[in-house]
Amino acid sequence: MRNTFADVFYEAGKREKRLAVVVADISPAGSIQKFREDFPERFVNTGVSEQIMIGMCAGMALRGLRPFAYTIATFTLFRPFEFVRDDLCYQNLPVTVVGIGGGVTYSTLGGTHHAMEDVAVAGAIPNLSIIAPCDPAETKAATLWCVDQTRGPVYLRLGKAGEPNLTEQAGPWEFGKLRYLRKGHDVCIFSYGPIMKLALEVASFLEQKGQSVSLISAHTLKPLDREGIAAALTQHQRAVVIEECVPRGGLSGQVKEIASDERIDCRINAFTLKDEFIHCYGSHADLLSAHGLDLQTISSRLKVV
Amino acid sequence: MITQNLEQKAAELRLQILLTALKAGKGHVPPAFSWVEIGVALFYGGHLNIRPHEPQWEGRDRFILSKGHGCLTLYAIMADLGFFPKTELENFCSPGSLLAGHPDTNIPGVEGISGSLGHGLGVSAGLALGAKLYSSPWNVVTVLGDGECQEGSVWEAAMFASHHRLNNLMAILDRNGLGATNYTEQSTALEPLVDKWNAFGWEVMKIDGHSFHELHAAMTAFRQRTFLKPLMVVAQTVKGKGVSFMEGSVDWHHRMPKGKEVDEALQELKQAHSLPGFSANTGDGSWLMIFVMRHFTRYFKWSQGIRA
Ligand SMILES: Cc1ncc(C[n+]2csc(CCOP(=O)(O)OP(=O)(O)O)c2C)c(N)n1
Ligand SMILES: [Mg+2]
Repeated sequence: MRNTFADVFYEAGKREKRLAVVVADISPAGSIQKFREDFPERFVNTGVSEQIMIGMCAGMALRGLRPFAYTIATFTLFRPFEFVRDDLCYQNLPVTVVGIGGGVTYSTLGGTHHAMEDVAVAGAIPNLSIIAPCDPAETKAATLWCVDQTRGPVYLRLGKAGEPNLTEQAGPWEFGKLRYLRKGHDVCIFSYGPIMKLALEVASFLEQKGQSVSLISAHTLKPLDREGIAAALTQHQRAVVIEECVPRGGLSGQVKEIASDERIDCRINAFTLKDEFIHCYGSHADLLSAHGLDLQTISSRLKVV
Repeated sequence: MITQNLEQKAAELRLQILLTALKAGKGHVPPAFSWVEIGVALFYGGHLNIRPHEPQWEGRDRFILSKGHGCLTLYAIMADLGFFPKTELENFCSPGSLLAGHPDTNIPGVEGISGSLGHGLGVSAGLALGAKLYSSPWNVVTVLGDGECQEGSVWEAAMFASHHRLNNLMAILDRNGLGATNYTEQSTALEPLVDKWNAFGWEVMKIDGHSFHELHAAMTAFRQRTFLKPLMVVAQTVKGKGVSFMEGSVDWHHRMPKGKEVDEALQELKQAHSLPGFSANTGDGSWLMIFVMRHFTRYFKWSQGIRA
């Protein structure tokens, strides 16, 4: 995802002269390195200073530029939180805050590098859009959208490198709209971000058990496609949410809220990270599993016979 | 003589650090190598009052590794001193392990979480203030990165510590001239660093961070002084010290050696390990001369980075 972002950004940077990257002493992936060589004046490294990384982006946007702030998710969002809130969101400036390693991607680096609450925290700020692509293909579409948009600030939540493409067969990506990766009629599964891979496994498992499954990428978490979710809840007897975010403030609560607000009778199971700092290290899958996010745990909790 | 033992220890730890990282396939090796002598001087040179088998002993000095990504050195030292079994090093970064890529307070002897840069000095200042309030006799020591000093929070803590006359606080700055992706002087220049810390109300010493002689002198001065200021020791270091191709190189922050590099690195470290300490405790700077001659190009590049 990182590399796709970099490739797309580099190409866009050739035509859109207002694009700039601001990093805080993080090695820019792949083509951002090329961007740095070709457009040195539009590549800024603030050093290890995330607060001014965001503040600077606001200033640059006020001068008409389209800056992208780029570092590890915890350091684009948590460290400079109030700068994101006041300088970008309060002023509603078109700055893209790119968080690499959303959720617990950086599984061996310990809790300081886990952005377990990124979607919840970002979702609480007015004006901030949130996009969490699930694969390189969605990353491409989302990056292009960020390049040209004028709505305001965006949190673009990415994984790291090497994620498989899962959505090449699906219809076009559209900001603010759910995207069906496959369409069925018994169960709908909502997910976003790299954990879509697990959602896909769950979908296959349910299909093996004779269920007809819809798999939905809720890539735009804010503004959320409320009508789309209400329709999906109406059209299926059962809904499953799988997300790499703490239990409160993510997608799960909102799906339940929509069901309640719209009085839709649909059974909903939510699978999220635990509300806990887990001291487990190992692969990304190991850590997700420690949070109860693996096929075995989910399938046993779904109790499909 | 004592210095020679410490040098042996440093060589032994560097080897251990690399082996630990190789086993896991990950870890920040060059940032760890950068402060090996600093760590050895503190933990083996009698400058930290601690009891490895009683990590929670109330009278201990508090040590915080603010540049948490340099934790491989801390782990190697702590395992060697018996804070936890050495076998833990073999599980570094794997499921069920005590040890992750950054220090965590569930590890016996680790006093503060670090990993996000710019936290350690504030926490250390709080510990030092707390010690003063309760008239606790212990000291607080923290190791900072130089890139880390680009974080505003470091300077907030700097002002706080001098304002409150926290002379029970010593910060050692691992001044290797490099952040993660660039020379600090080329991303956002830090110099004149000594003047800055002075202006922020600290007593400042500038030393060679690989010389046990100079480290010992600074640490002794800290324990013996009556000054009412916190102490900043700016330790000039070389990132990746001990493996020639890593030394002072922008390319070596968290990269892992591969293939031939592994053999080369191991060979260099093993050789240093089997040699008697080559600096022979002269303390007259000849160590630095030998170093400069050996690594002229790298040193040149590094100093250019500092000045540019
Ligand atoms: C707040 C924060 N921002 C960014 C990072 C990512 N990061 C890890 S190490 C590093 C460079 C640190 O340089 P320095 O403090 O000089 O340490 P060195 O490795 O040179 O010893 C960066 C930017 C981080 N850990 N914390
Ligand atoms: Mg450094």
